[in-house]
Amino acid sequence: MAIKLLAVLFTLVAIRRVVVRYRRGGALTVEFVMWFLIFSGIGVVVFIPHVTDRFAHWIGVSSGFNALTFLAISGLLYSVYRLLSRLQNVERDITRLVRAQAIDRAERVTPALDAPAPATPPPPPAK
Amino acid sequence: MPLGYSWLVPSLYLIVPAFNEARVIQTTLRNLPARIAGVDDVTVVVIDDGSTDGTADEVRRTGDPRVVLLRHGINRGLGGALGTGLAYARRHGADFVITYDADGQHAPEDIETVLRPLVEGKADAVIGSRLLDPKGMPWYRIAGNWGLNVFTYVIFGMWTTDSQSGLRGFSRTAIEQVEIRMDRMEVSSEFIKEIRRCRLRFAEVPISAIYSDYSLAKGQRNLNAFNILIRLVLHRLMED
Repeated sequence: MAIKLLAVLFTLVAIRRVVVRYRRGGALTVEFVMWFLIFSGIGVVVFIPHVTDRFAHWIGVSSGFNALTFLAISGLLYSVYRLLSRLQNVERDITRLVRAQAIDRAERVTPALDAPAPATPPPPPAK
Repeated sequence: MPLGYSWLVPSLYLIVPAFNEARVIQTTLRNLPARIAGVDDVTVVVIDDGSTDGTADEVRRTGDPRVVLLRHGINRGLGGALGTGLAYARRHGADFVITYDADGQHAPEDIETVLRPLVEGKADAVIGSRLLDPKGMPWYRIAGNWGLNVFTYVIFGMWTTDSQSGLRGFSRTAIEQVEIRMDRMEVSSEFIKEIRRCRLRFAEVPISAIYSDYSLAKGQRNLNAFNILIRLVLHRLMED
């Protein structure tokens, strides 16, 4: 019984967040529909678990719980991969921006007025 | 005229990445040799990688007109800084590039040791290896470095005795081909990968390392090795 209560609470909180984000324009309609179906699916499946057994039989797994665990872990791993991949691209873009700015603003160190003459002549301008 | 010399004035760009090195950067820069055999034109490119301790001001105070200061608005890590230095050198048509740590762990005379095979045209990429003669190197550093050497070999298929060395040299051929994509400490292994990918003529030369309390505290800790391993594996898995 506790699992049903927890699942319903989780579903309500998650759906509320999805709706609020969509209303604020933070998500596309297709994203909204996808997340709405995923979270409401969790809330429904906990009341009719035998539905998942049919699905498990269809994909060749012994029970509905195993099938859901398998799918959840696969989905999570794929999400982590996508997140890391995007993060890597964002990091690379930031470095590119920082690099371009640093090179554009390169400054040649100027000798102090009271400093001794430099050991070697200053290099010629950029080729 | 030895093979590899340009008939023009050969130029060397010494790339010095620096993050919060205000305490030592002036000494490191002032200790650089006034003249370096084999090159007539030396530019010291210091990349201040988002330091918050006034490293840039200390660099300016050297008053050395050979020094060009590039400032990262935010910290991007060792790889980000080295990539910036390489991009600058490439843009200015450098004949040779040498990367040199800012923490004072390199002996200035080793610059010539690393440069020699490049100037003589015997190699396009040279690693200054501290492990060919590891005198004075703490045992745990030796162990950590060997571990990373083995890992670099397993991941990228190229063996070197010091994959994590900060003193490396590149010819113009290498400067034009090497592409740095990793931002953090794992860039040292990425250089090895790039040497293999670009099929560069490769050499190792023995260098010494100066271990002070400061350089030991600033350098790579063995704990960092795990971060490097994880980042290298992720990079390998997610390469596009």
